Amino acid sequence: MMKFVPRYFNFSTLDYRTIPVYLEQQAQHGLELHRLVPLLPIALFERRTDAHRSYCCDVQNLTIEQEEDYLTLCAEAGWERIDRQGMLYIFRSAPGQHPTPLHTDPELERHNVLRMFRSYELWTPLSQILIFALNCREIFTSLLGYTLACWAGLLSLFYMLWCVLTLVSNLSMMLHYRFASGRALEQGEPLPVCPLPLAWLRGIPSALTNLLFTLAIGGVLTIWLHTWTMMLLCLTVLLCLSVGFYWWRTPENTAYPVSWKPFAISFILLLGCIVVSGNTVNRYYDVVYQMSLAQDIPGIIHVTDLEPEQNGKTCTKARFYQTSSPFVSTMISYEESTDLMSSVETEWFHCRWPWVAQLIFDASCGKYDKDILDCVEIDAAPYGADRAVGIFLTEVDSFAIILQKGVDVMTVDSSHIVQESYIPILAEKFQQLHMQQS
Amino acid sequence: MPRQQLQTLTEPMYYVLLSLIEENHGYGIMQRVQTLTDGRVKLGAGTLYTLLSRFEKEKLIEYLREEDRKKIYRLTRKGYDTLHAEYTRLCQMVAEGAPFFPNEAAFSREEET
Repeated sequence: MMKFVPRYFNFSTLDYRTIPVYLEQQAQHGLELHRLVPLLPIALFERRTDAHRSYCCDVQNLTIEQEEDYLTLCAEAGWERIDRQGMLYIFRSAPGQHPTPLHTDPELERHNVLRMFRSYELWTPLSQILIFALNCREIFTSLLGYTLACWAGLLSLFYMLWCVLTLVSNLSMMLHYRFASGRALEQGEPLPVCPLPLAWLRGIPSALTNLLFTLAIGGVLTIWLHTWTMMLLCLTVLLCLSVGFYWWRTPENTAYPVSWKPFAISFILLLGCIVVSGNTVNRYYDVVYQMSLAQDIPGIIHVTDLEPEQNGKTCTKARFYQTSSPFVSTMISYEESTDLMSSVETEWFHCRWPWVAQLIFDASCGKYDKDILDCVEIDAAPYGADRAVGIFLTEVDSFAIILQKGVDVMTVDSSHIVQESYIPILAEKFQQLHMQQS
Repeated sequence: MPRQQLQTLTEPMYYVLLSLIEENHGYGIMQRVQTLTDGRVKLGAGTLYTLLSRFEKEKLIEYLREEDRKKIYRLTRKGYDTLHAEYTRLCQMVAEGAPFFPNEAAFSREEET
């Protein structure tokens, strides 16, 4: 027989009065709460046949020092702490004992719970939404085109969705508690206890949003690490983190930030996985492999394209990156350089909608503007583009050209002096890409 | 205009302050209140902790020292004044109500007839 029985345990702070009811129910089946599993909505129960115990739950937001004082006082009053989940502290009495309940002043209890709920569970999502709203434009314009950043942006959107859901859910819960408890106080009745099914139901959105959040992290990791195997490895690390939290918690201190060991081990595991897989390091330096990949894709500009004389320069670094995102169906980045500091970088985006292309075009111009470089509108017709912007720096022998046509954006950044002869080359490459994607 | 904090005290607040005229620690206060009121008023640990934090923040009580991992508190001058003001208010309320309850037994007889 299993020593511990796992049970779903996911309560909102305002359901603190429902938890003892649930624990009493479990106790009637011979199950007593042993511990909560950190980061997961699961509680471990153990089979016990002791005399009846009472359960109690309190809402407190305490520092480690305050927690010690609080727990000492509770222990003296006959309440032994079992575990905590966020601001919820769960206690039990000694077998056969019935100590005075933790709260004997309903008005103060209501005031305290509402104050803490407002401060931490309402203002936190609200402040995050506000910060996101203030940075919204910046996030979209500067990150949209870059795959990893784009996924980070998508993750931010998911996170915002989560924040909005949390805010709406918390606000409705708070208003319900406020009115119900206010009415109970007026009528001299005990503070309301949320029925168990409703408390479970209220826990589901938060569990779902947590799942969405985990999936979003998984999505980012998949794109970043390229393989599902790596994603599974990372999720395993997350699981290890949760298990690590559980095992390294000491009985004296079960507050969540307990030990650096799970973090350190997870970090080393993650780093080890990345290095062993070679997904990042090898791809960057394998010049031949990168160049051979790029040869198959039309529209990639090589150093030799801008130096038709073929003066014997050898490519020493090539970085090729192709991927897709929810906003950009294909994004290609190819960088080639030689040991004579001759380099050219081509970035090409095939977006899903013209407005995304527009944003990327503006963001690319903005990137140069930030470097105090002047973007000059140039004639787009010779390139076969709708819009064209050039950045020419004669003092350092370099130029950059940004082209846009429909859903396609192309950026060429080169360490060459701009020449008339480049126009047909760039135009040809741009048209190749546009025709191929169309 | 915002309501002035702790202008009137609730029953648990009154007895906690009363218990702290002499230095005392958390559990000691709980026992003292129970003794003072013959078990009529019972203080929960959560309620007491919340009250002590609030009183300390409002400077009605002060932390003196720690003994056996227990924090010892005592009433401050401000706390004493607040408690005394409440005591006076309660006395006044009792005095103002007294003329209306001269003979409880007579009221009961009238009600029976």
